[in-house]
Amino acid sequence: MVQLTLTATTGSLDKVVAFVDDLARAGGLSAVHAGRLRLAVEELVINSITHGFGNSRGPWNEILLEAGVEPSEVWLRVSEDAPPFDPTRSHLPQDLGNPLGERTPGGLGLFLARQAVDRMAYEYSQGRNHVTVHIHRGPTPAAEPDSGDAPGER
Amino acid sequence: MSFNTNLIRNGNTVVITLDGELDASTASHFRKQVDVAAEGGVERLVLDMANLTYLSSAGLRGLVFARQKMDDGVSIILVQASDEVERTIRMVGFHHSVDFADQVPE
Repeated sequence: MVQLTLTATTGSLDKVVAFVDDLARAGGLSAVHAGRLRLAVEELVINSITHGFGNSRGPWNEILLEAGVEPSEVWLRVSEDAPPFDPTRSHLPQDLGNPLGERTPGGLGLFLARQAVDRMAYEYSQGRNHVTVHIHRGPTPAAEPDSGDAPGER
Repeated sequence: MSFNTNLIRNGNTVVITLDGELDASTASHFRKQVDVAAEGGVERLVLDMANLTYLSSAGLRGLVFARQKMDDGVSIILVQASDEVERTIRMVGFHHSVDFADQVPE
């Protein structure tokens, strides 16, 4: 398992992306799956920073990333001590069918995050939000068949 | 993370070339270019996405901004969006408000 502690500021996003890229490489994820993992994690972290900590946010708030590569999947957990919030149950944007110009922003990031990964789970324990995303390591339909061993592992 | 844009005005068509990653840290750059494009008459806004490698929700909101910034009659044409970028756009239904094309229109 690998982990990284971040200050809850948007300046940490570069570190998030680097962490996810390393994980995707270690897990041998295809470029498509690596991109989806990045999308999900970035949206979760941004949501924690801007909505979770909200107006009280600052460098004194921290976000913990933990991740691992399992035989069948890659997982990554985002945890922080902002007020309880379950992103797997947040409401879907209601105006997705409306023309682009008539939409209101909001909810979009978490919707994208949920769509991007194979599974997202939430737990609130010991005063912290824990959101875990899972992505299968299997080949994408367009990718070449593989033995299943981590092809990109260093 | 890097993101660069190039804006070319040709009559009533504005072409903005997007190169790199359009996300939370680069969306404001894109919005500024949309502001520039909106100055003066525009009938078509072409976004060349051949080298756009990543689009997050902040990037999508940049597209919302572009749609709102342009008059209803202005068409927004997305050129050579990658499968993943197009997937993200379609997933949230934004494809109703833009057109996709394989090449920058004449």
